[in-house]
Amino acid sequence: MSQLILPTKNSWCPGCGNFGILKALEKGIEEPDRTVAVSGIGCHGKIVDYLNLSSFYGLHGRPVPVATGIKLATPHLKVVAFSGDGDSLNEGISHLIHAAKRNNDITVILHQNRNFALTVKQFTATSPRGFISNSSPSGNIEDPLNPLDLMDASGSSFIARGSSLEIDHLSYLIREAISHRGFSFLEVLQPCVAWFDTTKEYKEKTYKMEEIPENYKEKIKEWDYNNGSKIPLGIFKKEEKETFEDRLKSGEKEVNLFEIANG
Amino acid sequence: MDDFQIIVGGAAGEGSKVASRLIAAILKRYGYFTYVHEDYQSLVKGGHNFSIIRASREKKEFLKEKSDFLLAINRDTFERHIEKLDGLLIYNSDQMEEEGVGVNIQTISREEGKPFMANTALVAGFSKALSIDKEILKEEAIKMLSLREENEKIIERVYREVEEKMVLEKGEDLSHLLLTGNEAVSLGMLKAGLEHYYAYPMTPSTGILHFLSKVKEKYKIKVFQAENEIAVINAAIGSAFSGKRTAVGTSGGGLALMSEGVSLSAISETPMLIVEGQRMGPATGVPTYSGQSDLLFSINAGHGDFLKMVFTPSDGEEAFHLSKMALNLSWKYQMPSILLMDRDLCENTFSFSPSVMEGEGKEEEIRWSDKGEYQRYQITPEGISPFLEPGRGQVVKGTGYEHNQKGITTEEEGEIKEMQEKRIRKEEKLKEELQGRGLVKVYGEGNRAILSWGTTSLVVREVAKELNYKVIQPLIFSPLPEKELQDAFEGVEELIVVECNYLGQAASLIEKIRKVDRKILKHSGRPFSLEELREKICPN
Repeated sequence: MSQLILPTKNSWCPGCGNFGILKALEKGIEEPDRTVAVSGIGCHGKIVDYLNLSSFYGLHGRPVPVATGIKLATPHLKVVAFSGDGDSLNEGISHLIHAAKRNNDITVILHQNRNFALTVKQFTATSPRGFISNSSPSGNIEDPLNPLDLMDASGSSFIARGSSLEIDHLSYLIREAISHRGFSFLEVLQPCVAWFDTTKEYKEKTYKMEEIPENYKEKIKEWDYNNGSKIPLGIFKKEEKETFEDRLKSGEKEVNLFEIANG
Repeated sequence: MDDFQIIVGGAAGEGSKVASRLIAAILKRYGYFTYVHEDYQSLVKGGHNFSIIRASREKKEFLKEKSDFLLAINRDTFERHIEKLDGLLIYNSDQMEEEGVGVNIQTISREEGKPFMANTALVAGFSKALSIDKEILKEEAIKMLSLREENEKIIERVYREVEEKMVLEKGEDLSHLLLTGNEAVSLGMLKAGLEHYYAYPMTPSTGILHFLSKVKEKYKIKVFQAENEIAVINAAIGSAFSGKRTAVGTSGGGLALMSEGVSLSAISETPMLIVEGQRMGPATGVPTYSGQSDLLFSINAGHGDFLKMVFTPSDGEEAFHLSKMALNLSWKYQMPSILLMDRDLCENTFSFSPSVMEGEGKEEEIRWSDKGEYQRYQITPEGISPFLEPGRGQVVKGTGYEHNQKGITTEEEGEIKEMQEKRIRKEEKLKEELQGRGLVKVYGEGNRAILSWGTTSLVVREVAKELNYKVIQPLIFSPLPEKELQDAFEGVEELIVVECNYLGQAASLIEKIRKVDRKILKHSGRPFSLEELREKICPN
């Protein structure tokens, strides 16, 4: 395989944060022939149409179980599930929790634009309190969820946050996430130029952690998706742990239906 | 006695089900086919559970009103079923004194073994009363039960204390297997090359999850219990897209949750077998009782226009054949199929001829072998695009969006139309293939016919034989086997449809082809008995 990016006509908004993620993948995907991409539905989902990789474009909220099934079928391949905040923190949040709990050896790259963008602006689980949208015209009355904290509580063995504005750093995080054995959760902060342009905020407030912090639980909580605090980027947690696939043992195949049936 | 029926009952946890399986195993050694109907409530301890064993020299997989033996582990069983007994009572004499064969099953099991082994004592009482060879009973008990020594002591003591009442004549030991429908389905899928099975527990198909979990190492298959049915179907689509023959199992409520995934299987042309064990709905309904009210739902589950196969087996052997066929055809045609079971078929025990398992197993799918660049959705005259999974040096793009041949999203009018037509075009070849597979069974002849399906057709066959009706039993409802049905309706002047639902769901499908003269329906969670159905067909 030569080029990672296909010449498909791109339909993201000009200036969309997704372009940064796509660019970062060029240096982030190290073994394209051995990688399968999965996506859900939302602006993020279009990415599989732009990648010269084997892929499965699934349903809204369901890229994680599809990725789980692909990994069970072909453990020798790297499986990367692209998802969004609406996709896997609203619609399909249960799958994210359980895949992290099981430590399925897959990577989830969560495009975090903090609103339902493709359906033209509604609030999601990570929209800040007071967020004005078409479904919250007087301001979002819910507090946002901290997905990193949730992933930690669920047992995710790799947790990181990158930014689509920091492409080289993001490439590095993608490589780290994919090469990690076990469940990897990589959140990518991504300004939505059409509905929630956080470019200025992220440029001012994000900072890179040089190494995995010892007090990672506190670091995860530094920014609560609501307050104006600094936003740490980098790897929060990286833990060696037996994967689900390691534990799912299977023995030798022998076809003797009669014996089985007789118990 | 060539044909008799036994009720075995007790509270949940008292082992009436194990007792009935043990009796079936002994009767098999005496040359009887057995059919074991399970009746239990949605609780773990207490309540009332019972099994009805139909034993016959010729296969009879349905129930009659009256039983010839009643085995009561507790007094409650006696009170509930005595009205249905026309024969010998074998009872727990620690709890009551009645006419029949009393066995102190609590005392004996406590003194010779463990208190929970009262069921062994009761079976032993039955065996002795029928002069069954003690050694045969011991052999079968040892095969089935743990605590060998205790069980042997219990059997010895009961055989000393209980008197013989009659002599059950021993016929030739039949080589058949005793399998539940769930086990038969599991074996059928394995025969067709099943590699992965995914499920979320739901009565009545949980037995498949249990059985395959037990044998997964032997068969080198992967069994995965996911967090919910939505995860089940999507993970299964991921595995099948990756080239592994995958099936899932659930009931109506689970299929409802999976429905978007069924639609995804169709548009992404990912082969998928869903085993749906019907129970009484709507919603949670009556979870441990049977029904046939998910036929239309199964046919229609999933949004959009697409093809799906829905198979309707009636007994263990058909469940085996059709699960095998459904998995094979799903892969050949790259489309979803549903094996529509019901509670009785899933959990009741059937006599199963081992020869059924012989013959062809896995039928290969059409795989890509060309040189050049692979296109997952290549347009072909028959509509089937050669299959290839990721990881073979080609880019394989599966998708739930409408797409071009390569698998890239399209919103172009021409491409949308072309791709939809390609998928539906498979129907022509599929129908032709299905026609050659004998999927409408016909028994008997004449101008009066009964159409039935699933487990209901088992009792229908017997009544029809007595009353001289022809029986028409479709094994598939989607696609509707119109030609075979029309052939079967040839010369039929009166058509009765018999099924266990309120609305007459199969009848509504048949009415697209011909007039249904009468519908005989039941919707109480219980099957028709022989006498009940005879009375409904021919009221005196």
